[in-house]
Amino acid sequence: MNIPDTTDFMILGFTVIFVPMIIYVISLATRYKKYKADIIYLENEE
Amino acid sequence: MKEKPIGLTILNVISVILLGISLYMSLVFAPVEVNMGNVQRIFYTHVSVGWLGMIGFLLALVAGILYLVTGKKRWDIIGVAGVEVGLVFCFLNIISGSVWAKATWNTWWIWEPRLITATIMELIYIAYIMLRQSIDEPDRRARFGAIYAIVGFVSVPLTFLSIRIWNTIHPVVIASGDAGADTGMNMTDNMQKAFFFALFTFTVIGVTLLWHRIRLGFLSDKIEQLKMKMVE
Amino acid sequence: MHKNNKTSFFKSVWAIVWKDLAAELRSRELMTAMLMFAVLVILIFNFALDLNPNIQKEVTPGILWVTFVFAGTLGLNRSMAVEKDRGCLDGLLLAPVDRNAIYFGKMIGNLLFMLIIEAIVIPLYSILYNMNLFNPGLLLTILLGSIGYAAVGTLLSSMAVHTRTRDVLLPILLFPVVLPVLITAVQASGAYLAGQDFEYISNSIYILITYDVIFLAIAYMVFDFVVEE
Repeated sequence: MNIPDTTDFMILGFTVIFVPMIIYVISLATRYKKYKADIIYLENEE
Repeated sequence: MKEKPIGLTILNVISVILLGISLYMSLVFAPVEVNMGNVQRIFYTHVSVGWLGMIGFLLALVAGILYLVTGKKRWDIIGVAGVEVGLVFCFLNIISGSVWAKATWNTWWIWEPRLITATIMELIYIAYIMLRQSIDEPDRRARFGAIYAIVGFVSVPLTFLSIRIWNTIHPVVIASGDAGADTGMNMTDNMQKAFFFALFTFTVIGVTLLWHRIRLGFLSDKIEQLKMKMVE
Repeated sequence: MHKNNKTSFFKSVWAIVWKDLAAELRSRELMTAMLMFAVLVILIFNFALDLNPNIQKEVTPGILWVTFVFAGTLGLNRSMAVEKDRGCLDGLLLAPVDRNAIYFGKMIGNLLFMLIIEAIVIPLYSILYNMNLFNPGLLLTILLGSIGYAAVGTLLSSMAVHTRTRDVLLPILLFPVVLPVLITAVQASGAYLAGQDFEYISNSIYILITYDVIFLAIAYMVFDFVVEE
């Protein structure tokens, strides 16, 4: 049985899933830090 | 919103471990699919991210209903979290599907019911974000968001059922009985194990990410309140 | 008492429909604009697609529905914006009527405007392209599609008028939600025009009916929250 070689597409597929996913996790983390800093700033202003 | 809850830390660790195992199962444990080759291995993750996206939208629906019933702000915050996570993962579902399509159908995109309905679903929730951005009063924003999340959810079961309503070349995974016998994939035992494990993994990842996103929502709400106080 | 409530509900719905119709009959500004717009859309398609008899048969359902949808959006935007700008909406809300009567009144009004436009466009199109569009199945499809469109369109346009970017936002909110209805309606229309048997079309018709019911039910349940102040 001849199995087609689609390994390149497999790698590409996993890349397009995991790269944006990691970017999203990073965005959650940076937003969290930013909001924390904002809150500390705003509470000090008061 | 104090320190990070211990449950969330545990979930973080579990998510990463599960993701590792799931990747191992789809890359090594599951056998190669004979007709499509290795590219079929993204199937486990491809379906799971789509599943997670739909969970996000379902959460937005439930939160929307609860917001309209109770009027509690927390449901609004949870609803937004559901939509955002849903949008991200449905997008991953679409682009990974596109790569798979290129490998098996030799085209990045075809106009086929599943792809159309999934795209419509994505567009609806982008419109949800735009709707929220163009309303200034927080109460009205929450109310309209909840309503739109309810109306827009109609697209989710449609997307799920689209491959059953219309004839299509998109494979039916959870085929009932003889339906889709010709288009359905014949999964071997190990493939099924990898598939259900991936679904479970991404459900856990979803819970973790939603929790993080909801915490973020509460923080930004607190900021808004602090700013309001300063204006007064 | 219960029966009394029911009659007063229908009376309020009818009063709102009549108010919109009477205002429109006097000014005719909305109908003229919608009609003009519909004719222009057909004209644009004529040149954009270089309509010759060969391809025209296949693209007719698409052209008709795009025309109805665009003209309908114009009407939806206008009908809610008029209420809001002239302060009529506040008046309506103060009036001792069921909020849902307001929704159904506006929805039936919008539907009527769409149906009138369609009643003019279909014969016009038939004459211009020498094509008989008076097919009962096609007319049924157009009616069902228009109901679904007006049902969800009225709900979303009453939300869109309260936003900063209102006329721009309505199509963005409405089109993706109503796209499944549109796709199904185009398919069913095409099948009727091709003279297919009902067994091939029934699926589409049932989907359209399902959508109409779902949209009306959702709007009935949530409209209260749209107008709540």
